[in-house]
Order: sequence, then structure tokens, then C-alpha cells
Amino acid sequence: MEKSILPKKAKKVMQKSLKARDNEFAESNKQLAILNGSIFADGELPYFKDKIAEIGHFPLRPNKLEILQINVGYMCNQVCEHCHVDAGPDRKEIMTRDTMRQCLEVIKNTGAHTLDLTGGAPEMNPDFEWFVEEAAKAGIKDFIVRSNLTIIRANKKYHHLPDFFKKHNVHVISSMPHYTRGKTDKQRGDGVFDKSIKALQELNERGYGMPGSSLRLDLVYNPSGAYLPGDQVAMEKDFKKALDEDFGIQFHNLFAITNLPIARFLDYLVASENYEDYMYALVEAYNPSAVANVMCTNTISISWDGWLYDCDFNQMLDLKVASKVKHIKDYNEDLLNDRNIIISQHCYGCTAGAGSSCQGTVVAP
Amino acid sequence: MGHSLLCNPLFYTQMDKRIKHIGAKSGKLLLFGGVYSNLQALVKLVSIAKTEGISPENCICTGDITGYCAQPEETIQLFQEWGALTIAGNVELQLANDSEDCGCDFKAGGRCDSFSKMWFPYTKGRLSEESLQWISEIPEHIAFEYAGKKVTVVHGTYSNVSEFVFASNGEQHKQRCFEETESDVIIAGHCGLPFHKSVQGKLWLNPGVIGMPANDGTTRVWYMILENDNGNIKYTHRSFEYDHKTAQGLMFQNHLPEAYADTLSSGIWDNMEILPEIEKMGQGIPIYLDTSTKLNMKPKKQKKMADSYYNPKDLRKFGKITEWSEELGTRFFDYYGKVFEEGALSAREKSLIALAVSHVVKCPYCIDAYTKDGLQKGITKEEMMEAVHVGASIEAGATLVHGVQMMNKYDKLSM
Repeated sequence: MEKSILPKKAKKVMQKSLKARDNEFAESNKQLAILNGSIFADGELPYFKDKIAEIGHFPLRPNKLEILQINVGYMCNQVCEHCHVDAGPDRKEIMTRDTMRQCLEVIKNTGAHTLDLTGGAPEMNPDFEWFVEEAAKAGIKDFIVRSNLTIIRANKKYHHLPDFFKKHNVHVISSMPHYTRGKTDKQRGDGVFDKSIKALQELNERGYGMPGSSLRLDLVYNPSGAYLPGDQVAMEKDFKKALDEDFGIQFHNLFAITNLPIARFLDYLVASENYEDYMYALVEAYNPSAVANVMCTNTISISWDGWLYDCDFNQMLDLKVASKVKHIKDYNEDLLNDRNIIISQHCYGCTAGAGSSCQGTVVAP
Repeated sequence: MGHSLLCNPLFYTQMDKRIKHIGAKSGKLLLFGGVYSNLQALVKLVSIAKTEGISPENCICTGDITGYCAQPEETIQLFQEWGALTIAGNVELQLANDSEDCGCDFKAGGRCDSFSKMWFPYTKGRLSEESLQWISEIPEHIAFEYAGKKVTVVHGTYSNVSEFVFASNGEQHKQRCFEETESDVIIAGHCGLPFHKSVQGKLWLNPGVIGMPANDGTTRVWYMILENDNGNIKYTHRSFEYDHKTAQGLMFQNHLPEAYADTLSSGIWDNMEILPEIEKMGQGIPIYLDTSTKLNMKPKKQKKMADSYYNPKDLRKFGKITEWSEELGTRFFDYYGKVFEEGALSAREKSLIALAVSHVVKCPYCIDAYTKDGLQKGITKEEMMEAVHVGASIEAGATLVHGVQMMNKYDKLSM
């Protein structure tokens, strides 16, 4: 069959978010309809709730709260293909200082030991630096900022970020899909690889990621397509070797995470006719040992407008926590922890293989 | 006549409202349909009309000016500029009603259904206010006299804009349509295939569409010429080629369904959900309706998975072989699993070896499985291709080294 030679190989043009394109998958109910329909609805594959019921984990309940993950906005300088947030320069949802104040109240009094700022690009929130300064005063043990790296080089006003991070002992976690140039730019946009390398070098200069340094720099790997990540330990070795040999870059740990079928990744799966095969792969790789440690059991996700979710993925599917405490203004940690976690078929992504979470695999190798 | 609805006086009023009467027409007419936002095809058609000397008021479209392809706004604007006549297809009606879907009459959950959820919002999002206004004013049907006959233009059928009517089916629908419109000739569209059919002395003409090929394995698209041959209506099916590569490229760029974009160059539809059995059999066989051009191509039968021996979906059922021989199957899979564990060779090395061997033994399941495995392990495409060459060179080398035997034998037999 004659196949076109055209634009699949052509230079990727920075595109708009699904929302700006009026794409169906910008709506959470349409996504949930797909996730609950066809192969699951007609019994080809089991529902996630039935799978975890087999091992007595339904309903899924949280353990002690350890991580507060705050999404400070969906605006981002990149429009990565796989983004489950559907972030981009055209998203206007940004956390206000008022909401940040409410978050700070919670941070001061929480039993959680980790604060995890994410987005979009958290740095693009105009109150980002103020928030970091205030949150640092709360004495949180592990203060994570998920930086896409290119933001540091994107605009003069962000060039000082490595020093800013160092000043507040921020734990930087960033994504590198693959260390060869071709794979990274295809997924995240042209020039992303070069900017990322430069940003990493700057962070290294401030002491980030260096052996023995308390300035923690970790990288996150997720597959550039419709397949599962390989072994995290092996990936870490590969990345360390290549980044060091090619660019003299050091980092502490690599987290290998699975792409979940949400927003842009779901759109990609459906358009490339990989959705069914991918869901099959996730279900086939289901690992019951991963269920007990999925991140919703120790994390609360807070959206830019202060609503509470079991995880960032549920946030994007607009599935607020099943608790009377739904918004940060009513925050009550004990009440909140006494709830059932909302699940759906995207959860297979977190229980596949060695499991997946914002901190990488959840099952010991 | 005899249709019960016609006895209802309300129906007559409605019928009048739904058909725009445009009087009598003369000269050559150009009939076409299904532009589907394919600007490149429309540009070509407009130039054909000019070459043939057919004025815009004699060019009539059966609806669906926007649809699967990438340039709805530009297509609408060119159409308006040209000045051809048109009726509303299901896409136009859905856009005018500010609907969420394209309104086609296909089964929910099928491929057409899920693809339409991509191209319809895309189309809607790209159209300007002025274009949407123009679309909402398009009449549902047009009627005129030609060569002394009454002609009505419908999209699907008169009573149902989304009805799929083919040559092989819908006898009753066709008959009812003639009765309801009281016409001698019906010009219809919607189904995507060009054909003509006589129904009890009346004529059903479908000029086909120009926005997508006709499932015949060629890139040609179709239209029709109508002429008054001394009081008799003479119709001619015609096809043309156009810059389908540009149209296709734009679809890829704009993330429209790849399967539809592929059709522009393969000439084969992604699925035949709407086709009756007889039309299904026509897939890949070049249509011979256009007697004006010489056809020098062989029928192209697409390797649809159902017609070929291999089905990629079978790979995931590999484990089922154990069901018919439990002990042997289990032993095999245990052994197989063990082989690929980390050992003296790394799992990565074994994956590449497996990939190379899969090509040598030519197992499509293995090739798919180890390509995917390689991706998961972070193996690059350059490494994979080299592995294939390793396999190929061993196969070639194994052949060639036997040439030594040939040389030996040759020498033995020669004096």
C-alpha cells in the first residue's frame, strides 16, 4: 500500500494545547468514556477495580500522607506530545497568591514531609518565587520543584533560577525522555534537547547532581511512544554513562515512569491506532505488588484553584477526592485521609511492570 | 403515487419549503459532491469547469463541502468565490445546528464514529462566523427542469439526509424518493461512490465525491457531466487526479485521522462499515466508469488483515497454545522466559539477537514483538537496523559459502 513520504518525518511545528484546538480529549468526560468503554465495557479486558478487588485492595485507601503535590498552573513554555496535563503557552489557569496562602497554611501544619511543585511549568507562575520563599520557611524536609529545564534558558528572566533553587535547597526533578537528540526533540519540540543540556550544565555548576552533594538533581524518563518503560536501574546506568561521556553532566537518580492514557497521550494513542494495544500492554504488565505502593496512597494533589485530588492524573480527569473535604480552604488532614481513592482504567499505568509514580518505580527490583 | 405521507396537506407545505426551485437549466451541467474540505481537489474541479466552459450556475454540488480534510475555511471561501450551487449535506446541517458530531448514519463505537470525533470539531473550530452563516443558509434540496425532465438534488435521500444509498441496495428508498419529490431524475451524494441506476424508467445519478477516492485503489476522484442530447439526458462519469500529496500532508500536520489521510494516496478506504457486500467486493478494483481516459493500471488489492494470513492481534494470543497441550506449552514458555533473562549475555544483547533472527526466519510476530521490546529497552533504530543487517549478511554469507562446494564439484567434474 502506497504510503506518503510526507510530514510524519517533517519538522514538528509547536502546536496548541488540546483545549485550544477544541479537541475532544480536552474534555474529561470524553476521556473517561473512552477509558471505561469498548475493550473494558465488552469484557475483553478487566476493569481496574475488579483487578485490585482480587487482592483485597478494593476500595483503595490511603496510608499516611507523605507528599503534598501542588500544581501551580497549566501554563507551560512547551507543548510536549505526551502531556497528561495538556499544558502549553495558551493555558491561562494559574494559581493565585490567595490560593497559595491557603496552601502555605496547610504546609505549615501538615504531617507530610515532602512538598512537590508541578504544573505546566511552575516557574511560569508569576508568584512562583514568592511561594518558594514562603514555603521554604515552613521547614519542609524535601522541597521538590519539577522543572522542564528549558524554562531556565527560555527567557532572561529565568536565567537566575539555578541560583534561586540553590538558595532554597530546592530538590530539582526534570524530564529527559532519551539522551539521543532525535528522540527528545520529536516528543518535546525542536531545540528542547540543547536547552535541556545547557540547563543541566548550569545546575551542575551550582553543585546540583554532583556526587555527595545535598543539592538533589534527579531525572525522569518516560517512553517516547506507545510502549512501556524498560528497567529503571538499567536506564539509569545508560543515562549516566551517556550524559557524562557526551556532556560531562551528572545527576543523582533516574525515575522511569509510564505514560498514562490521559489528555494528549490519549489523543496520540487513539489517533495512531495504538490505544487498544497499549491498554492490553498495561493490563498484561499488571503487577499486584505495585498496588499497595501507588502514589495516591501517600500523596494529595492540589490544583491551581485549590481543589483536592488523589493524584495529578485524577486532577486532569477532574475527579475530585471522595471526601467532604474537597477544597483546600476546608483542609482537614485526618478527615481527608479517611476516604476511598477514586480509580479508573488509567490506573493500570501506575501498576504496570515495576509500577510507576512521580518518584519512579514503586516495587523494589 | 401512493405514499401515505403525501395525503397530509401539512406535508405539502413542508415539502415546498424544503426544496428550492431554481427553474429550468440548459447547456452542460457539472455535478459533483463530497468536497470534504479538500481544497486541492476543489481547485482542480474549478479549473475543469472553466476548461469545459461550464458556468458556475450550472455546477451543482450534492453537499458535504466540509469534511475529513484539512482546509474547511479555505474550501468554503473558494466555493463561494466560484459561485457554484449546492444543497446541504449532513455535515452542513450539523454545523448549522451547532451540533457536536457529523450526523452520519454509522454505528456507534465503529471506526468512522471515533474518527469523526476528531475531524468534526476540527472542522467546526476552523470555520469563520461568515462561513457558518453562509452554511446555515444553504437549501436542503434543489429542483429544476432539464431536457423536459424534473430533477431533484438530494444528499442521502429526500426524507433522510444521512441515508446511504448505493447501486446495489435501497431499491425502496430510491423509489420512495422519486415519489416524494415527483421527479424523473434524482441526483444524490453522501455514500462516496459514483454510480447510475435506472429505477422503473427513472434515473438515479450519483456523481461520486471529489474529496476522497472511491475505494478503488486509485487516487482518482469523481464527478459527472450532464448533457441534453436532443431531449434525452446524457450522463457521463468522469474522474480526475489532483495534488493529493499536499492535501494528505496537511491532514498529517493537523493531526487529522491518519487512516483517512492514507486513503488519499492509497485509494483504499480505512473501513467498509457502511458498504453493502457487493460494493465491498469492489475495493481495490479500479472503477471503469470513466470511458474518456485510458486505464492502464492493474487492480490493486489491499492486504486487509482479514484477507491475509497474518493478523497482528494474534501475537497477544500466543499463550493460548498451552490450552491444547498444557505440559508442552508450559515447558516451552518457561524455557523461553528463562532464555531471555539477564545472564552471561545481557537482556539487551539477547533482544537484539532475537530481532536479527526474527528477520532471518521471517516471523512477523517476532519482528513486531522484538521491535517493541527494543524500544522499551531504549535500543535505537540505528542499532536495530544494524542487527537486521547482521541477520541478512549471515543469510547471504551462508548462501555464498556453499559456492565453495559448487567450485569443488565443478573442478571435480572437469578435466
